[in-house]
Amino acid sequence: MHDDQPLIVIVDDDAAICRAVSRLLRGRGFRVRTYSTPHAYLDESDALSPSCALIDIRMPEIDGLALLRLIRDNGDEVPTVFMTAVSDIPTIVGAMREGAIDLLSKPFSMEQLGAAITRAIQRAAVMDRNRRGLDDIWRSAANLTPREAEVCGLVASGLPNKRVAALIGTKEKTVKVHRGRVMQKLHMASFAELVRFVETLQREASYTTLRIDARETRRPRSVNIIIEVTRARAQLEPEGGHAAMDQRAISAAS
Amino acid sequence: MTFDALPPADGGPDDSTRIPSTDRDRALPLTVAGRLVAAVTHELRQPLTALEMNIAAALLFLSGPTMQLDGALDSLRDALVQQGRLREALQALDELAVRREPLREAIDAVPIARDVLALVGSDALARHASLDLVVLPPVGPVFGDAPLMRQAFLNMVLDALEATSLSPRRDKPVRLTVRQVEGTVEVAVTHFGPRREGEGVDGWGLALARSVVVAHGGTIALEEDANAGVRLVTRWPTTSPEVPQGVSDA
Repeated sequence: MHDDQPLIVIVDDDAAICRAVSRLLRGRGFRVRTYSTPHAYLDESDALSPSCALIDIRMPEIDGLALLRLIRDNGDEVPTVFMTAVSDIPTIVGAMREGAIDLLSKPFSMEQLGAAITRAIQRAAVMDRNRRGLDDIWRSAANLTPREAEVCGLVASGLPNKRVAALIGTKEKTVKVHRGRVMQKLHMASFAELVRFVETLQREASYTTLRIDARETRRPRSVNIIIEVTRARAQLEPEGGHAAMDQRAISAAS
Repeated sequence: MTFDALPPADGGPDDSTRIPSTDRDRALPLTVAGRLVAAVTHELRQPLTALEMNIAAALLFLSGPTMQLDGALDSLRDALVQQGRLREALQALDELAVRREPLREAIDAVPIARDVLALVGSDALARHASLDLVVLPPVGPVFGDAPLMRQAFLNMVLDALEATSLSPRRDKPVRLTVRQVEGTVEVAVTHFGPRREGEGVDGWGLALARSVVVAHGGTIALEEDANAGVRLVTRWPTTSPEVPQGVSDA
């Protein structure tokens, strides 16, 4: 078994289910880890990057839906397939609301299981690509000083250098210097690229930490500043006009 | 503390087998059976899933480019164990479906109580309630019918779970207590859920339990206390003037 094979975790308090499903998945070439309680999984989850979690809904102490919420609270995002022996309407609605890839009603067939896991692995690949892309963006943004991050956010919001200078209490010439450094440090060839860069940071603002290959990265301060500055500007000038902007909002962000 | 004395059952000792005559009586067995079947069905789905996965794994191990005989054998052995689980669950389901005169055997109520708690375990989880069994030995044999007693205990515990799920005091377990009291075996269920208005032991929810207890010559009563909760007490005779021969497995 190779480490590059997708890892599937199974969380079910019925040992017979854990054993049988894991046997089948190992036979199909997956790496598998089984857990008989949600706590047992949570204790090890920091060191794992599963491509799919197969979670039973009814378990003692913490049910499957609550477990998925705890996983998310830990900063992890795992494509999840729920298993249930009771497919009533509230259970189905609860699973879908939590963003499950699929809900397998016990008993399920090998084909149903395989299809759900394939979908989960495809989702995991997309999520992994997005995380790595965002990680790259954070790394380059981490090179910016707080002042440069501030200028980056304001310039990308469409403000001319003169307005930015007035807002942050400096000269237009200084803003131009900061702007040049921002473009250089971020390896940006055009203003359009800079705008797309900042838009990506805003779109992924819900991420404050990233876990890639069991390595955790916290969002750098410069990214926090860019997000806050652009958010403050969007709130104060929703039409993108040139109404007075509260400098205190910007100062507070930096 | 209040104690509701139980009025005699309408149909006397064969109450469990009488033919329903009113709309309520016709609906009652369906309501009770529906709840019991839901609990048992969950117990069928679990081993059935494990069985299907084990057979699929065995086929995979046998049909791959390199046959994995050990893996296939492990899967098939496990499949057999799951088949046993299925057989037991089906047997329990069969017993629930049978309506007949009670048998007359000396049986132990404790393993029946234990079986029932295992059977409703998943239902308790779904209702975020916990279960508890207290046995105060020595507990002598009951002169009765094990499958019917199981039905009665199931009915009592499921009713208590349903009441508990309506209560803010779900931290308190539904407790099944078995002890010997004055020539009878007392099997009581305690819960801290609300006692539903107009539903004593004569109500819809507990009619099945009542009919079985009465058919055994026993008694059933409901006690209520603000601190001790609602307690449904059944007492089962330990002796019979007729042929109490041998002790069968419950």
